[in-house]
Amino acid sequence: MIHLQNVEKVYQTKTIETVALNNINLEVGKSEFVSVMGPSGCGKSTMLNIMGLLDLPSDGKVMIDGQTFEAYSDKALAQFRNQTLGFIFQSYHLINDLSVIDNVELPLLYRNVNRKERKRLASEALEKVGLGNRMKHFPTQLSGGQKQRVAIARAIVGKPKIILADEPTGNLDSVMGNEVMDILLKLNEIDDTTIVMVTHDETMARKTHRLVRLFDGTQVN
Amino acid sequence: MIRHLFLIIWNQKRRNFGLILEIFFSFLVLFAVLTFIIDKYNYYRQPLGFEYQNVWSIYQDTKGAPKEEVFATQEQIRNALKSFPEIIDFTFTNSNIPYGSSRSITSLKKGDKEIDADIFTVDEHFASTLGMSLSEGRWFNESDRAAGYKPVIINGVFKEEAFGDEPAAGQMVEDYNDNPLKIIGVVDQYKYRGEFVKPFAGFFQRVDTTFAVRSLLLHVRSNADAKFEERLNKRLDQIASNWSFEINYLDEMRKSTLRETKIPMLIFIIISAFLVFNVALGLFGVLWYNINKRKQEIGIRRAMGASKSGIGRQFVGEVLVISTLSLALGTFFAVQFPLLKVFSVQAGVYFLSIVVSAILIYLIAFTCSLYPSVQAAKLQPAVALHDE
Ligand SMILES: Nc1ncnc2c1ncn2[C@@H]1O[C@H](COP(=O)(O)OP(=O)(O)OP(=O)(O)O)[C@@H](O)[C@H]1O
Ligand SMILES: [Mg+2]
Repeated sequence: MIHLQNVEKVYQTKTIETVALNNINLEVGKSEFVSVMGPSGCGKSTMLNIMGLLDLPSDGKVMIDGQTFEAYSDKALAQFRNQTLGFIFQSYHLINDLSVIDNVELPLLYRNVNRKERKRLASEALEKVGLGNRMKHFPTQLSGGQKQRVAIARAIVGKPKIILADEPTGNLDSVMGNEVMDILLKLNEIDDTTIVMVTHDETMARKTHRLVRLFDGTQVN
Repeated sequence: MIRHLFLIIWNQKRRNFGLILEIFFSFLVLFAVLTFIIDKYNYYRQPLGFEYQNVWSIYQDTKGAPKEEVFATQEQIRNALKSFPEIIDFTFTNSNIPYGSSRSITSLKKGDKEIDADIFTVDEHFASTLGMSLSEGRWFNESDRAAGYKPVIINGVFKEEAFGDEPAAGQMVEDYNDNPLKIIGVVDQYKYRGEFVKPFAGFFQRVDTTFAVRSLLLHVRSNADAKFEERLNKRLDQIASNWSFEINYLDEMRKSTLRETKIPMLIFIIISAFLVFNVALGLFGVLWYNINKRKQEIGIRRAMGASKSGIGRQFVGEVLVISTLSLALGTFFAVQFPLLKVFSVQAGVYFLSIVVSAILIYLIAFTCSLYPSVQAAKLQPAVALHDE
């Protein structure tokens, strides 16, 4: 499903050159749930961004769902992200100006789904994460755990094949973290969604199929 | 997507309210200035109705001489002027001459309709001296002296008010003492107060022995120079040494009359340009600030499937929606002017002004939003989403 081949990422700033990823080779199979661990600054987010086509590798090849992207226009890339990928972030990244349901609708908006269908799918996704009664709230009126569940609803509303989650439980206490983790596990089990999850939490990581460890931009196994 | 734009704007009403007000006010300023300019320009476009090139005016200060003496002296002047080859034509007229400062108004009656009108007291040579042409009937001539009626010539506005589309020559009107006046001719246009002034109803009556007129208009050849003016002055002085004569050139008088409109127009334009420029800067600043504040949102949208151009369109679109709201509000106020007839400006002028102002506002808003929106579109999603 996801294939990284000799992927390298170098950040060039005025003073220094940071090698965030160094020769990464990774294969994530269909319906697999992989967790990524490693110390802070080792390149986990960078790797996830490259998998999510939010960032380009400096070198190497990225293949997702059988596609390579060198020839993709920005528009085609955006469309692919919209159709195939779902994102969950540590700091939720909800749009504060939009209500919960409008946030969840967002991926469908870029897919030209009509309004009624958008509302239906968004409420369905919110029901799934147990927030059917918070649809008209705004993000600032929610707890961290609730926000993250909204973010999950948003990630799954378009039924993507792949979900990329960057420390989804990082800002949550263990009870809330477990709730979120249960939702992800269910998604993987029931909907066969492929999930790559960055985490600092060994117990969370142990619940997944496979653990990938990074250290200083290099994969260690 | 339009609905989504409205949603974002609505959810940020407080942030957008100031922007809407700012655009609203600049629209009203533009509207006011453009209405003024379009209105004036409309009058400017209408034919003047007379020639001012190579026309001189001579005001005769008769120093209180009795009217019989004035008539006699003017007869001498008339004969003297005929001997100057530089003078093509001349006419004695009351002092409400083109580009002059005086005006005289009376009212005439047509049936039970009363019409306020400029009254010009002139002689047979007035039309030829000023190169005026008639659309109906004829100018005064010798035959009018003996006629049993009092002849008048009306202008186009008068005709329109009194007779509409019907021909006016041959028709009768009455003065305020119920004396009958016979219309013998119509001149379509005579904008003696200048190009920018709204044409007003008016009529010409023939100078007679009731009172003496004190202005004289000369149509001179283009070679008439200062030397000629000196000879002319000398001759006039010989005829009436105790009078004083003031010579002016109509084209100079015209320039100073036009200045009276052009200078306030220029001031308005400068002030409004300054205001609009300020609004444009403000708009640009706010948008620029917004984009930095909304980096996260941009990143999120990109991750969710918005393309670069999609982001750019969204930001430009928001500005256009905000502009539209401001313009809707502004137009609501602007249309009150033609509806309530606040000023004597034609409704069409107001509407043209509204349309042009709206287009200008859209252009300004679009231009100001373009650069910030392009920057927003260029933002790398991974950078925009970077956790602080
Ligand atoms: N836009 C950037 N410009 C320059 N350097 C960057 C940029 N983004 C990341 N880096 C650097 O790349 C390295 C990897 O960063 P990354 O965010 O992937 O780490 P991480 O493993 O996700 O860390 P954390 O666990 O703290 O989130 C770090 O040294 C970081 O400073
Ligand atoms: Mg990270």
